[in-house]
Amino acid sequence: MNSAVTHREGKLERFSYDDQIVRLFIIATLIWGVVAMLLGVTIAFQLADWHVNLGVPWLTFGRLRPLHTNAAIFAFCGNAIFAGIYYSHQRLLKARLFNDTLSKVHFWGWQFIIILAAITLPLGITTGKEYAELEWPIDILITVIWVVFAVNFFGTIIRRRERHIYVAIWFYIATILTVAVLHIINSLEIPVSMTKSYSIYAGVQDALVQWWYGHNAVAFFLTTPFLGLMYYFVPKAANRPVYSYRLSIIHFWSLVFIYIWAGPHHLLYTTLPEWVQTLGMVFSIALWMPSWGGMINGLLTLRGVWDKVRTDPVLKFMALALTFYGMATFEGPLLSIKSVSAIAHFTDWIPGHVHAGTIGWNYLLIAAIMYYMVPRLWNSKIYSLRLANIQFWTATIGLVLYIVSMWVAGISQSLMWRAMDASGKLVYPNFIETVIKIVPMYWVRAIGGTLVLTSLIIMVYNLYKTAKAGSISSEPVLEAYALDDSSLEPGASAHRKLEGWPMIFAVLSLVAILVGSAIEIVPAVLSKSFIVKMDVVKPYTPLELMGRDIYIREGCYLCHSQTVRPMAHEVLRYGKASEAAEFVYDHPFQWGSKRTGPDLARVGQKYPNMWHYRHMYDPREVTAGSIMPNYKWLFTDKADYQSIMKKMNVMKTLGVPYTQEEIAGSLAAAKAQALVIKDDLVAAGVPQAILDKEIIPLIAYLQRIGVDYGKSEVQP
Amino acid sequence: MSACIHCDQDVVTAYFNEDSTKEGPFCCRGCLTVYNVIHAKGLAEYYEIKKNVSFFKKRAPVEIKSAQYSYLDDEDFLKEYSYLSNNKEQTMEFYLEGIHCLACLWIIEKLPEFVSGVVSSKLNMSRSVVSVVLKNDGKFSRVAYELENLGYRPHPLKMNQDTQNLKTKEERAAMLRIGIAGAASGNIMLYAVSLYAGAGPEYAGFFNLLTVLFAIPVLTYSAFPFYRNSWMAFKNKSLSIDVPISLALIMGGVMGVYNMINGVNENYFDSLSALVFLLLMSRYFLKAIQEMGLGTTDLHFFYQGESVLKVNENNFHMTTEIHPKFIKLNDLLKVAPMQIIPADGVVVSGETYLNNSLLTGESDLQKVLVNDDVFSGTMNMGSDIIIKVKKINKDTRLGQILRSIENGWGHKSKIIDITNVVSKFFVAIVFMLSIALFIWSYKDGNTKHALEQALTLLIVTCPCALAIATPLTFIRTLSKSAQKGIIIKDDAVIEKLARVKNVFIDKTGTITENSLKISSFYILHDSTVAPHDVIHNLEKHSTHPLAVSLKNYIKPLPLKTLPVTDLKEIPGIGVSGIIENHFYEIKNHSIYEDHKIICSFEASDTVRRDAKHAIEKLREHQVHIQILSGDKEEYVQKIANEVGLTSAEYQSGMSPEKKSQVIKSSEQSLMIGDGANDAIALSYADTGIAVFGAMDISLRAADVYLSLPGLSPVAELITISKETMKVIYRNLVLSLFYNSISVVLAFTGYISPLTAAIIMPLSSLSVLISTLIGTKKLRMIWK
Amino acid sequence: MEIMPFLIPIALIMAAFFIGGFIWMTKKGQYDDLETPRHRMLLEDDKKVTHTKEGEL
Repeated sequence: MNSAVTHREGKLERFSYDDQIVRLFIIATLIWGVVAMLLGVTIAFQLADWHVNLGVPWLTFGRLRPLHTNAAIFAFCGNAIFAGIYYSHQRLLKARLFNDTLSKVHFWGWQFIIILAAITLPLGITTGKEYAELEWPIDILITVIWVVFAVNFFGTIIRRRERHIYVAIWFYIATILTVAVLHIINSLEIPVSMTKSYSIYAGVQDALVQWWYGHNAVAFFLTTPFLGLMYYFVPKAANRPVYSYRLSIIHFWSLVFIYIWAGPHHLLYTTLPEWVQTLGMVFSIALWMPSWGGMINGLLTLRGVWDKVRTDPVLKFMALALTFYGMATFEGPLLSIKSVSAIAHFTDWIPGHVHAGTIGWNYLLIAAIMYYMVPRLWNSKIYSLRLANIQFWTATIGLVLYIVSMWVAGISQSLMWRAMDASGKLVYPNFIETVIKIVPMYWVRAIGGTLVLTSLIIMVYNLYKTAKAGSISSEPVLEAYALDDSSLEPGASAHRKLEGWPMIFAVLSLVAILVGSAIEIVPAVLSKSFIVKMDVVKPYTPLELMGRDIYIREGCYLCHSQTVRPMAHEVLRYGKASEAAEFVYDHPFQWGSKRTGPDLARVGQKYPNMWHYRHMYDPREVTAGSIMPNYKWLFTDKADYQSIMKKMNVMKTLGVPYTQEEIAGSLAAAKAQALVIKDDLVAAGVPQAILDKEIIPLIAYLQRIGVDYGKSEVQP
Repeated sequence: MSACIHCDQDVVTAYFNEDSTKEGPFCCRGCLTVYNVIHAKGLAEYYEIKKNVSFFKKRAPVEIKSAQYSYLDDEDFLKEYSYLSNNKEQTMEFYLEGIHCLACLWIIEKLPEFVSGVVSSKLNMSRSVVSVVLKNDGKFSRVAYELENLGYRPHPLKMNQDTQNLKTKEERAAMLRIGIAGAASGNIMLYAVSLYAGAGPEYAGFFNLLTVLFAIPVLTYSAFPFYRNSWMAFKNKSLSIDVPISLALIMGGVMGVYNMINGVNENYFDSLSALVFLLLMSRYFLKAIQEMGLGTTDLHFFYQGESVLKVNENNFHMTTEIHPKFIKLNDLLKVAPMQIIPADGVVVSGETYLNNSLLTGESDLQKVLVNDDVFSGTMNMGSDIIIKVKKINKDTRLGQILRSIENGWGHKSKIIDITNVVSKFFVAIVFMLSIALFIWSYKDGNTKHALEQALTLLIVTCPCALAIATPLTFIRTLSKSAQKGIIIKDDAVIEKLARVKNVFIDKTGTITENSLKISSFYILHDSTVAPHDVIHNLEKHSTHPLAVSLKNYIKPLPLKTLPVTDLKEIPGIGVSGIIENHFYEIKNHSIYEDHKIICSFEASDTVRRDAKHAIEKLREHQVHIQILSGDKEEYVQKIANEVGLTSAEYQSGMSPEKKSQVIKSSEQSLMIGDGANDAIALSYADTGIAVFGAMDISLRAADVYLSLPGLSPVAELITISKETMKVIYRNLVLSLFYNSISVVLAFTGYISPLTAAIIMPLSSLSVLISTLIGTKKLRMIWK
Repeated sequence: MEIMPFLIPIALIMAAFFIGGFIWMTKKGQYDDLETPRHRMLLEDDKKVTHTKEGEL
């Protein structure tokens, strides 16, 4: 098309931006930010000193940790993303958001979801899949609100008055689509009740889908949207055009095509097929290039305003955020190299890495854009540059403490795990030794975290004063020319209006296709999910199944892994290396990603029932210096035997080979097995009353983990 | 040295606002005027934006002309130059001089707010083209006039839908080719890596199929340009780097499909598609950079020249402004002082002095009277004249020169494109090797295996690294030079400049600034009115170059403005008038009071500030330097001495043809010039450099254009070229090294898709790094 | 890994979608001028009718 004609514009239109919704999201960001970091600090102290668990069920580490991650990612970063996107999207397209009501639904809907999360997770209502712990009704709600967001977003694109769709918007688009897909695929589960469901995938497959999601939650929730914001706010704040627009386009497309495949690097040395692991590794390394392409583009944009960087808080936080982004995206590929992963995986190095990204990149960039938006939206000046400065340094010092302490903790513990003497024996056969050694580092981390929280509170105060000093003026009216091709051929103006529809259509169809293929594929997956089979591996008994749900509820997987890697020292410490076939009945898989405590893949029948009894009552009775909380309520709360048949049925539909008889007799069977364990405990001096308590099923499950293959003669 | 507050250029002679504000400094009157216009229009925010945006290209100072551009409203002009939308709105595109930063974008897109009738004005900064949409009551003359006053000289561009559409089509196709190649190779990598990593047999077949499917669009659509180029090369019996590449691509494609059919899950599509992607990228960027330089649009407008005044036969006072394209035979044209004569013709009214230097190089003015012939390309230095057009377009003197320029291009020495030379040998060698390999591995009698081996060799020895490295290196040099204001037409220039032996320089306008300067000023007798006040008051309105230089000369002195009675300017003679009852005259280099000489002065043209230095720098390259001037012996000698050249190093009284003769007879020549009289020489020289302020016609002839004043870039450019070639050779060696490795591997039978997948990116990466590192000197220059 | 026949189609669909998006954007002329957009975004909201000085340029 002739460039002159593409520039032909329609009539001059008056419009205004919906800044109120942006203000709301900003306020939400700040509130949830404090909550998320407060939770983070709490669990950090719980790791440093178990007493902080306070013996209250809903305050234990296992239940607060998912709340912390969810709050940090979806509440803090989520609201910040929406604020930033809605602010920049309108201005880049010279158009008000598609529909004010949708905007409001989006905002309140999202806050409602967060509140539901804040209630359900502490109650132990969880799917047991990291970063996707929310149960199915909330999952559906998330999907709905996300679609509302998508419609509002793409609708605005259709109504735009600026023909060119700036690169930032492309990053937003990628975010919206990919997150939708990931969320749907990973959340496929079959409900047992309103508050309980089982993932349709089992074991290795569940693991792959989970980490394909888990990694991309990081990629497309904590990276692409923030890169988009970076491409808008950095040039604006520096008042310089982005260093290279071509580079930014290449950056976008290469990221989109590579990122999605890096997931498997979370599963190196597991029973995931070798080649899938290698694939994940290769793509994670390839990822290094586009990541740094973006960082360089950002930093070079700031080149020439370094003088301003020293004084302007916005630029200052951006520069640091970009630097940490560079660091984290360099560390990431490094960690996904198999040999490095062998050392780093399951250790505190990983949380260290994650927080280098979330605090160093996400929090600092959020700080930057908040300092950019708030004065403009409340017609005011930043209340105190000095406070901003203090915040900057508090955050930096806190973060450095965090990262360094986790490096030290991670590497030293990992070395202790693998330390073997000349005779081929473990130097630290007792796991607890390796824990006690790093507890000081946990204190350092907790202090670092506290500093970061403090810095955030300083900002909240600073921004509050900023907003208070200002006033919300009536939305300024703007003028711009509508896009209009009516001059091209008669009656083509309608065509213009339609121009955007292919886009929406494409988006919706994509989602539709995915949902469709998902539903279609499920039976296939289920029916075929027993190809890799091992005769010795049998389904869980009803009681064990109940125990497993308690295990999931208490978030045990957050500190205990359930997979033995094929490494001499692990086999020595735990037993036979894990086999894929062991997990075919695990809906969901419970491999975990962190070993704050020892691996449990071979814990079954390792200790007598009584050991577990005492251990759960007070871990320190059996393991001096343990940092695990007490689970006293397991000894008073009654186990839920009523839903067992429902659970068995669901498991059957998921392909677990329970016979009708087994299901019919499940309640009786459970009670019978409970009786056996009770008697064993009573013999050791426990009161009869224990029979119907939760501890019984839990012991049953613990005693079963990894037994079938672990105790069998079958060799890999 | 302080910078002009409008154009940010260094200020030599500072100008300041006459009004109370005393704002400044400005580098020239043009910038000052624009500054005031912008403030008058309440657009002062422009400077705010410019201050905050710490980012802009260097730009040349503004020079304002008082053109009315009324020709833009002519019916037949609009027909050709504007696009009429069916709701009666006109769109016209202008190439704007002096677009350099965000502030320009801001002020130009504000046009609708202060120019009546403008619906929209959108600026394309990469092309420096603004497209303006007008309501049917609007006038483009008005738009152009405003743009001129804002300091952006507008040049209307022909709105040729077809060529425009074609261009955009091609550009988008190029973009698509790259995108598809990139996406496909990304996905191919996904499945290839899985296969390398040992994806179980249950996947191998399927994954292999996927790689093939993804490879098809890459090898057909994306790679099409390579096939086309090879075919071209093939037709004119030459070989280009694209031939081995196409060969590898086709072979690889055939092999991959063949293997798939035979259930062998092995192919080279991952390497090949990645290679296509990288190649397309590097070429795309090279093209992008070249168009940033002397792009087609620029030349297109340069040749159109400025508007002219057409005079009504019956009434010489009635004039209409027309575009030179529309001059017809026997038209009467009015040529104002300091204007270039647009067509060959004969003077019908008025008499004046002409400056032929642009056409002939002579700095002496030529007096013309009624019935004298005048030639296009000469400049009117005296007063208004009216001429009758006798010849137009290619029949004119200028037109003839133009034509000889065109065949000059033909005569340019063919550049030895090093990469293509190499690829020639390369193809030959690779072919021989693969035949050898075929025979070698045929020993065991397995034809299929032997054939595979041979084909594999062809694929893995594809000179991709080389093909990527060369454009990359040129991209870097061209873009970096452009930042320094050295605009290079194409990469071939670099290769030629690196070998330069003979440097020829034009005098007038190249070594000298093409303006007179008072060299001596003697006061012989006292006078009632001081000589400088006489000049100040008599020459006030004169545009004669001598007058101008006199006014510049007295500027520093305290000047009194006095009442003058019966002020006369006799064109070509001088001025006279009565001040304080004394009769003063300024004529033939003297000032007279009541016919008694009181003062005499000498004027000579001024050597560019950096000319001497530039020539010394040139000498460091062991080149033979010579001035070629159309001017008189004595003048040339004087200048030659000033810049430190011996009598052997200049030739004077050279006609344009003579100059080109000298150039033709000399090897590896470089010509530096500005005027039309240099144009032919510029085109015949292996490399032609047009200096800042050069005439449009010589810009057409040149390969390099110095977009900022001064000669010193020339020597630097030669250094840059030499260093760039060093890098190119280094990359050459590097990539050949990698190829020889793959040859060895192929012969030892160790080559496989996997090894290829490792070697190919590795080689490309190392040449990329070597390019970025450049050389010590280059790094210093780029700093 | 029976999950593969599930993930691969999804991979392909997404790839197809993004390639489609790229082609569509190019054909719409989004990438015709890669210089001006980075400048223009710096001025996006200057045409204020009621000018509040706090707003950006």
